[in-house]
Amino acid sequence: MSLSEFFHMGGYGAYVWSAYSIWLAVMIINVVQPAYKARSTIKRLARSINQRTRQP
Amino acid sequence: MFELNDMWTFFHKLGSPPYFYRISGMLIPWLGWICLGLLLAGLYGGLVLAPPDYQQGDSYRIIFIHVPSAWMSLFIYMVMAAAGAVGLIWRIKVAEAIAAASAPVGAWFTFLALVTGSLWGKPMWGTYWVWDARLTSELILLFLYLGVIGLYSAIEDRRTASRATAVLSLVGVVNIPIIHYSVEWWNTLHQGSTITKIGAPSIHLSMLLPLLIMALGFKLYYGMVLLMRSRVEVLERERGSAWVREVLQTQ
Repeated sequence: MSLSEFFHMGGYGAYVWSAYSIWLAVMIINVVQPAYKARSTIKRLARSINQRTRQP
Repeated sequence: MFELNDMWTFFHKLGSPPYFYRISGMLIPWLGWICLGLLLAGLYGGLVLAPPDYQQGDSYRIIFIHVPSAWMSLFIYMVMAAAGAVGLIWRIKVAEAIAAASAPVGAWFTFLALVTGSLWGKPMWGTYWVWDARLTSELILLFLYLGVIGLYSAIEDRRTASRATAVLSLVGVVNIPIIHYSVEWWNTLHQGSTITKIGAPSIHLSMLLPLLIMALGFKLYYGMVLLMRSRVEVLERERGSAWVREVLQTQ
């Protein structure tokens, strides 16, 4: 099987590859977004705890 | 007997927020790497090794993401409703966090099931969308997830929000058997089940194997993302407690 055949997908390339691209995008978003949220939440909570301990 | 006891203590401990936070932090990278391996193997098997379908040609290859997404959309809903019920009955905070963290992931998989199905429907049925039983009930599932997400974010107190969304998700459970049996109860355009015919699945092993590998990869992916989301949720809910202060000070 050649590479162009692989991308052609027997004429269904547009459907198959759009489905797989949307899938991939969603899979990436769902890992990146919670990872980002975890970092920002930890930062925010750590800051508020530090403030409370400094000015009792 | 000892093993059973150990298992119970394990589950009991999991209900403790600091223990859950620590264990989930250790599990996430493992789940991630195994999941990545499975997905790559499944993609290779499904897109390269598996032969074209004798009726649908190569368009059928959407099955390897469509069916696992649809399975996950139902599975995650059941997890969300069950965790919601546990939170409602025993007021276990970790269960509430798991229910809250499941909703967005479930909504995304429902979205994927609908979109990939639509992209498969166009070349095979000649249309992106029909208002048939399977598609409509899956769309209702998406609205249920969005309702749960909306309700959760509308109530400021997280514990009250958890109780309200648990009731909503439990009511929505009636939709799950409707989706599952829709292809049998109604005459629909959607094809019948390929896999669950016990004993004799109507699918060749070269197609079945990548599908099952993908499905397992999706499960682990959900496990990983669920833990990522719920441990932040737990941290946020417990922000006043001593263990969170300890965790944050070591950061």
